[in-house]
Amino acid sequence: MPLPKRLIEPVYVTRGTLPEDYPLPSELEAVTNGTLANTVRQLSSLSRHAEDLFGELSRDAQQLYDRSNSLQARIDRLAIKVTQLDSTVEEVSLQDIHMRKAFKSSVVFDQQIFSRETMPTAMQETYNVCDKPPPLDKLNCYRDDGKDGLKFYTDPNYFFDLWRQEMLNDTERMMHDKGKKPHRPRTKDSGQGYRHKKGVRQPHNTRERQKQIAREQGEYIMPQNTIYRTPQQIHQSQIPAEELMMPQQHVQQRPPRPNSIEIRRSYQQEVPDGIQSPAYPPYDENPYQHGMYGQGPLSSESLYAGGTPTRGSKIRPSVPPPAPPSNNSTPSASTPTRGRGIPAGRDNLPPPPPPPEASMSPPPNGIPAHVIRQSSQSRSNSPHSQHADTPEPVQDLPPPPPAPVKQASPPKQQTPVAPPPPPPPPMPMPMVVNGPTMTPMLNGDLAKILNSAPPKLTPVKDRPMSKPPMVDPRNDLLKAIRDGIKLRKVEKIEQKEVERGNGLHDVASILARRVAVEFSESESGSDSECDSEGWGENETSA
Amino acid sequence: MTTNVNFWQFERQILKMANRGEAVQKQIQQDWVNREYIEIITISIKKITDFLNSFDLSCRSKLAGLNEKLTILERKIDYLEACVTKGETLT
Repeated sequence: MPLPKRLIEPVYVTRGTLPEDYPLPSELEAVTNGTLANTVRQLSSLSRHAEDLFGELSRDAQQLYDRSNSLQARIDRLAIKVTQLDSTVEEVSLQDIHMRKAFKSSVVFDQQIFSRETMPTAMQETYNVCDKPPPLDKLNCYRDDGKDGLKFYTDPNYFFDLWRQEMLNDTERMMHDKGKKPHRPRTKDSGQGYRHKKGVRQPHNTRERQKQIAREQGEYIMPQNTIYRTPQQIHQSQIPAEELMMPQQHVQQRPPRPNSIEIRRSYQQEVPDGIQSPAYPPYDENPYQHGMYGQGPLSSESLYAGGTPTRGSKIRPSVPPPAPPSNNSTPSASTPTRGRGIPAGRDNLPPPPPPPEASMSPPPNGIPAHVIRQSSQSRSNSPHSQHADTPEPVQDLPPPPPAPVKQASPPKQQTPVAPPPPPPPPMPMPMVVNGPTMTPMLNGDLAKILNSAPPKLTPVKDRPMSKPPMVDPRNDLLKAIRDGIKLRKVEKIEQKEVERGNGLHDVASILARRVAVEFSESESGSDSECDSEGWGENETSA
Repeated sequence: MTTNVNFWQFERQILKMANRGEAVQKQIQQDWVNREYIEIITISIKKITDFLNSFDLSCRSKLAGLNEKLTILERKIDYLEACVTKGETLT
């Protein structure tokens, strides 16, 4: 049955227009006049409805106008803001990113569209004309069950209540089912908990698999590393250079990889310079030699492309002489530029190298000398003052260097190993992991690389500055992860309480809750546990 | 004579009747004219009503379309603003 919104009255224009009790000279005229009068009434009714209609339209249009105006203002503001955006400025720092509030859409859905409040006035008038329901509510005082007597006669909310009850029961049941699953593993540690752990551990297994594969075939674990690094790199805004280096490093260093991943992470964080990254690959092959040549990426690459020892010998003459001067100069006056110190050293020292150059120097002396020098340089470069003292003994070492490269390496390793420990204090977690897992070789290499790399671009002073910020984000991340897990649980409890406390009278909230429950049932059930346990493992391992 | 009188009376009656018939006819014709006039008025009222209804309908549909577009735009702006703004921090 259609509900006319507006009714033009009177409907029957001509009926009842003839007064019976009044003598009329002409009935026809009377009827005609009456009909005309009713028609005029119709017109007036029509004009009233038209006014109402236009009023509604203009009101809606006004609303749209206001909305579009505010939208225009927002767009203008946005345009101004966008023009002020600077792509070079890091928008969110790693520390701030978890301090940010998540964006919450404020979209409000229309509800109760067909309620008495939204009834158009024209219909409201018609409705008011209707007979009122019998005053059954007056009998409420005689009812024992406390129900509203009128609702047995008419209840506009009946269907909504019916639907709400159904939806709430559904969600309640789903929550209940879902709640059982997580509770079981927690309560029962033996059977199901183990299953869940298995499920959780999968990623860990894959990691190990990848590590093994990397060891065997030299595959990349790159994606994981990149992921970890990216935030840090972003901080330093050196992303491109480091990314470039990464693949090369991985390719060359297969075996150490698994252990080195974490190590590298920490070191790279410390090392602000991504520029020297290209030099890394060569270092990996011959850690000591590479470290020495790290000064110039191009030169180092070309040198290393061929037999490392021979080239090292060629370069050696130039290198060894500079070493002493560079050491002297670098430790005292923080050496921002290694290259400069070296050439100067070359000029001064050329005499000593020449004798060994021809034959002797290349195999034994050259390498060790380089190593020594590098180690000293690296120490000097490195922020730690203690290392600066060490370089002198290292300089003394050059004579002993005759020992094969391997022997030379141990001192290096020790010295470089020493630098890594300093970072640990700031970052307890990663450091512990690195210490046990790391092989001396790897640490030495990394330390060299790191130490050698920074000197070019960043003076010694800068390094220490960069370290602390780098360290903090990771700790913050771990904290955030831990806190996040806790927070989520708390939220659940709060939600339950809130939901139980307030009966839901809101279609949107009921639906949203249902959707949330359904989603969480499918996802969180597995993911949350995986995440928490996965992280737990990492933490323990770390 | 009586016959003459009767004749005249009869003739007069006929004339009367004829006059009355004309009057009635006139009245009826006039009534029809009036009814046509009223019909025109009511038809016009119907036309106005139809026009108003269709106008209301089209206006509402267009306004609804505008409303929809505005809502979409508002959401897009919401998104863009969220992208651009740095967001409030918890502390």
